[in-house]
Amino acid sequence: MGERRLTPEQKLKDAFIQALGLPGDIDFSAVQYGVTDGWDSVAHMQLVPAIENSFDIMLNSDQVISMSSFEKAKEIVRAHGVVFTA
Amino acid sequence: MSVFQTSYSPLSASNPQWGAAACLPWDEAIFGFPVAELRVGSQTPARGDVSDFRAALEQFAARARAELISVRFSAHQLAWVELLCQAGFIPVDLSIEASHGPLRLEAMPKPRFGVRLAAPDDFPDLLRIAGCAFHFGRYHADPRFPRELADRRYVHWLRNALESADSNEYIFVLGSAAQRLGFFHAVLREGGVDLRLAAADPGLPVGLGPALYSETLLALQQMGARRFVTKVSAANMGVVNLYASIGFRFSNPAHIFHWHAPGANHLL
Repeated sequence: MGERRLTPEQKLKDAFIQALGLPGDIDFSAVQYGVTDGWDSVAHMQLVPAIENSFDIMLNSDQVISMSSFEKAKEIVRAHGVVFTA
Repeated sequence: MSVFQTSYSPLSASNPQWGAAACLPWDEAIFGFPVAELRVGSQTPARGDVSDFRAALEQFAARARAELISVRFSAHQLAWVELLCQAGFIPVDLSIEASHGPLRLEAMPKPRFGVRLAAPDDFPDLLRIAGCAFHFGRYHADPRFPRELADRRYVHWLRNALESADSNEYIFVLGSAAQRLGFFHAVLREGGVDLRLAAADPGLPVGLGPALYSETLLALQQMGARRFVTKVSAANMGVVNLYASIGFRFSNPAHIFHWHAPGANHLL
């Protein structure tokens, strides 16, 4: 059986869903640290390695600290050379 | 560093079994007015003695000029809950103990920021964090206690720890000298660690408590720690969840109540 190929956007969403326990139909543009249920400081430290594993990248400490929304996470992953198509 | 001593005396000379009270000179030095602590005794006053118990509190407070009397007692001592509430105490906190044996390294998050022992250059930043990071604990939870004084207490706590000559006391800093992200005060004696006070900089976009705690605990284990204990406010869900995520177990819940003296003019 062939492996399902995910877009970078979907991979990032999956990392958020799994690390934060989010429902799949959530409005990701509104997902924010401290606002979205489940995204607290403990979950943040689970989200970071989930994103790193999904994209095989390593976030630096500034990126870990500044990743406070889904949109910001996208920006950070993009800075590692991942291309998000519209 | 000043060394304070307390002297407990029976709250009621005729009923010494009700408990003993003393002023807390270290808190008075910070607040500028006396506050006291009651240690409950072996016998709860009978319901009919509530007014006498209250009178004893008022007499002690007048004698000591104490504006506030705190009491900590086991959450299982239900009779004291009723008596103290009837005497005018209000609940301000539920403290729980958290403990953990040796950490399993494979279960700990990978260190990302690095912890190191505090150096004098760190002090101003750490004191700034201590002055604005805390929202829990009995003084912060007391609606009549001025917030500024509650914050000041933690600044004094950290300053005393930074200036301590006790070689068993450690202040860890998360992050480099260019970016101090938080601090952790701990006392390590014979393999046992008392985790005293910790705070990540609240001005950061995300909370770094988990990194601060896990990296400090790992550093302490490398220094020989084999058992970790602390007290946590049950209202501080962030820290409770953090300790739970590491695998700490919780025990010994204790109520903390405050009583405000009539006419206490430093309180709100």
